[in-house]
Amino acid sequence: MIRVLVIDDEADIAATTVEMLELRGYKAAYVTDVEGIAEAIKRHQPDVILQDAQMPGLDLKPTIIAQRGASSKRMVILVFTASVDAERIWRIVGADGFVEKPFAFDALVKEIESRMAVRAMHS
Amino acid sequence: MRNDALPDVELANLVDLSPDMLFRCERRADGLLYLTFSEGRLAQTLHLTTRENQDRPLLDLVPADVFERILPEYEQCFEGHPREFVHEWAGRTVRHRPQCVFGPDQDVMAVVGAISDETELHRLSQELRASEDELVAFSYNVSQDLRTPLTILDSSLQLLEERSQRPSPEASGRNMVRMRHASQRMTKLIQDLLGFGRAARSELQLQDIDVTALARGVVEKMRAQDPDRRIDVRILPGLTCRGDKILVRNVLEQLLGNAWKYTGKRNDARVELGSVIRGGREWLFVKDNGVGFDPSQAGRLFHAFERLHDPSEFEGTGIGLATVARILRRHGGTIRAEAAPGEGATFLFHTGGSRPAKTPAKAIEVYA
Repeated sequence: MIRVLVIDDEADIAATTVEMLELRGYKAAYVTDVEGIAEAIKRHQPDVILQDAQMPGLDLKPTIIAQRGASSKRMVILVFTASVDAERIWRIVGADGFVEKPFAFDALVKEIESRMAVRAMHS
Repeated sequence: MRNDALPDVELANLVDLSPDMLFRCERRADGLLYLTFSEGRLAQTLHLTTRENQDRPLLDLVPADVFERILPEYEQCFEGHPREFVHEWAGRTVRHRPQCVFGPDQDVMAVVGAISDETELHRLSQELRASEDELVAFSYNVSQDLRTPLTILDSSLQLLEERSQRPSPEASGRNMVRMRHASQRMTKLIQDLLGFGRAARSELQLQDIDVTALARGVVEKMRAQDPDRRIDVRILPGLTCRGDKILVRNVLEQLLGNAWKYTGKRNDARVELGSVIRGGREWLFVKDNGVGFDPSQAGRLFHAFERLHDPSEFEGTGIGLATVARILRRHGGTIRAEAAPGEGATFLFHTGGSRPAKTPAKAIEVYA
């Protein structure tokens, strides 16, 4: 089962996203504060991270670098954002893709699957 | 121009009326450039009129940095390639519009032209650009802030849809609560945005205002909306100011509402509205014993969408204090904030005007 960690300071966004992922057969969990990210990765061992781009106290690029170092898995990290310039920033910060909010569940699942497929090809 | 159509003396008067500097420049046998004619208002301002030039080369007439900047341009003119250019001249922004005067064998005999002072234009265009940037940033923030509750609404609806075959009352209830909360958040954001716009545009209806009575009304309303909240509100009797009543009420609603909100975690919450003399004028203040804020961040408080507290801890759109500052600025007044983290906040404000400072009924020193 593919494990997804949703990182978003908006608890309602995180919770609805997790509920949706669970309905689609993923194992999902969420964390709402920057300080809790490392612990959540250790505990949940995600294959995929959905990382909100704007959380209080978040510096996106170093956070993504730290996430890559925090797990032995080659994780798919997607920038999860309400910002209009997601398309411009996701490569710069070292993510594998992005999901713009609001999002259609089908589109999110498709993005996760296609990025997982790219990862499988490279490993 | 035919000389008989405009006598020389009238031409001279006409040139004097020009806001620009009208000039003629030639290269003499010594290889140097000379201003042989230079009149108009800008020439007077720069002390470069023909009379003041006294037949000295351009090199001696203008500051070294200006000479270095314009020499290559005028060299080009004497080659027969004049072009407009703009540069800084003693704190001014000026535009040169040179033209060649050709001799009988098509050589450039002289350069004539006009130099305009565009300092004001330049300043205004910079201001316009800054306010355009601000507007872009503002709409960017608005769109982003609307997307968050919209995402919650959209996701909750999709969840209801996904579960419609096998509905679960518990999950449906959860999603409906979220949707209700998100739509209230959007409503609040839209209301605050409208208030921010109104603060800038509505015409001020100035009158003497009984601030004490106005504030009591605001507090009564807050108590009615939140009847379980235990909070000690003290309003000094006899507070007045001159201003637009609707907008001043907005200011009080916002400041007292913030005090209400940021003291929410205390059992001994206290809010005080009073007045104090500072710098020979009377300031009104709203003081609370809530969470306060980092004083080094005080400047950010009054910018739209700047929030010093985590939205999950204290709700807010980040527009309220920007609206307050805008209202007070429009009255010719101002606001400032004083605080320390954990030690409450004090907002001091006035609505401008030259009202003599009257001694407050009770002198209250604010973090003196």
